[in-house]
Amino acid sequence: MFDAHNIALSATETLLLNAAILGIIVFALLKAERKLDESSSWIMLGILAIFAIGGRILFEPLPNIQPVTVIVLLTGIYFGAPRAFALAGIVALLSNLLVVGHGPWTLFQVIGWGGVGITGALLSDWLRTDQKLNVNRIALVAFISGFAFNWIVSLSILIQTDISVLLPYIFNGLLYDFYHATGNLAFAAWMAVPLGELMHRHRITPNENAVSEVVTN
Amino acid sequence: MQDLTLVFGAVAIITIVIMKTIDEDNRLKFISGTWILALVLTAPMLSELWASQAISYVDDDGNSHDGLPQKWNGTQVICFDFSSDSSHPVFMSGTTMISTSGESISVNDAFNGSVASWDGSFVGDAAMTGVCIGGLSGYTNGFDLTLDAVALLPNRDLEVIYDVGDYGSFVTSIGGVAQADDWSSWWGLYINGAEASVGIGDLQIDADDVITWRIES
Repeated sequence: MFDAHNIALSATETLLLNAAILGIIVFALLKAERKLDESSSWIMLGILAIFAIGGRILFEPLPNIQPVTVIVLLTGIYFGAPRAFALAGIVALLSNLLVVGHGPWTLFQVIGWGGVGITGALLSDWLRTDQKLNVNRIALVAFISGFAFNWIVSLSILIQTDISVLLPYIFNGLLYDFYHATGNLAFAAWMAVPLGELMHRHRITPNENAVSEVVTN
Repeated sequence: MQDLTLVFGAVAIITIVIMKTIDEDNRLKFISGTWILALVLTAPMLSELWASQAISYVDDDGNSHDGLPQKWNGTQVICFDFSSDSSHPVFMSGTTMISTSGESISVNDAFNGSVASWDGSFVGDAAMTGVCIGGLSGYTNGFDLTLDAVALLPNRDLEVIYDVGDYGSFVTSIGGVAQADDWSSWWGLYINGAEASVGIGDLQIDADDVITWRIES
């Protein structure tokens, strides 16, 4: 009998398939976003989580290239450290559970991506000049974040080995760190401005918060 | 190696051309895109090159996987040491690391296999001469691993000759190096650096065991 699911795809074919699926998701979400309430930052965070999880899974055929780091960085800039950290946790846990593989390293990934989000929040004034994203600076921070994130995740091997293994392990991984960093550079260059505009529409400003609190009280 | 030089030479030229011709807002998009494309296309070559460089930075004592390619961690490895009777025509110096596809990954000139000698003394710093085949998995029996591993090499460079006697299978010759009729030399069997207590046919192995055959005298 013909088995419709018994098709072996090469890495390139998988990538093209994934890119098509990702395209459909992004297109649908962008359509939906236009109908959102201006101040609905929580829904926006949900959409970002779907972007990041989808992107991480769909880019899996490429070595260490995925959009999560840049998305978390931008979230830190626009929505602040706590929400970026929450996003980092949801994205790391769900994407690992779904496809990539869940284990002790997930905790280190949450901390690593959370750290990237905090960096974005702390540097948000420097990364945005006159409410406009400075793409070159974001690309620089994203590039460095690629290495920093991987080194934080590398610490997870200390659970089962001693510290003398860590340096050779990190050295061994430098090439893959470079893939992550260069991937971040590309995602920052291509995504930062459109995603930034999206986030800007649903940003939380101190004023908004104050008003909504007064109203609910 | 030449291919890599060519690809990254082209990348450098394209980068310079982009810097000169494309406006500042879009420059980073095209540069990062070019880099990603080059990195993804050369990923297998780059990671092989990097692994062969990184191997010389790996600590050589303690764990039975030390000195072996890091990507073999957690896999089954089998080594053949001709150092005390180095008459193997192909593997005359250093230890050649061979992948499951039968290709040479790298040569480690300082690999000692962490093997204790048959009389209990530690061979220590004496470098091994021979071959390691790694990245294997799923074997539970040492003899199956031995026979399947040597079959991965082209040209039958490590042909195993054995007798089946009352006490099970007994290896008499590997890669043309045979034990002496008067037992002045023989093929010794080690598992994770310690002499095996049973013959190869009865040797049970775990997922990350390193088996070593040494010609002893």
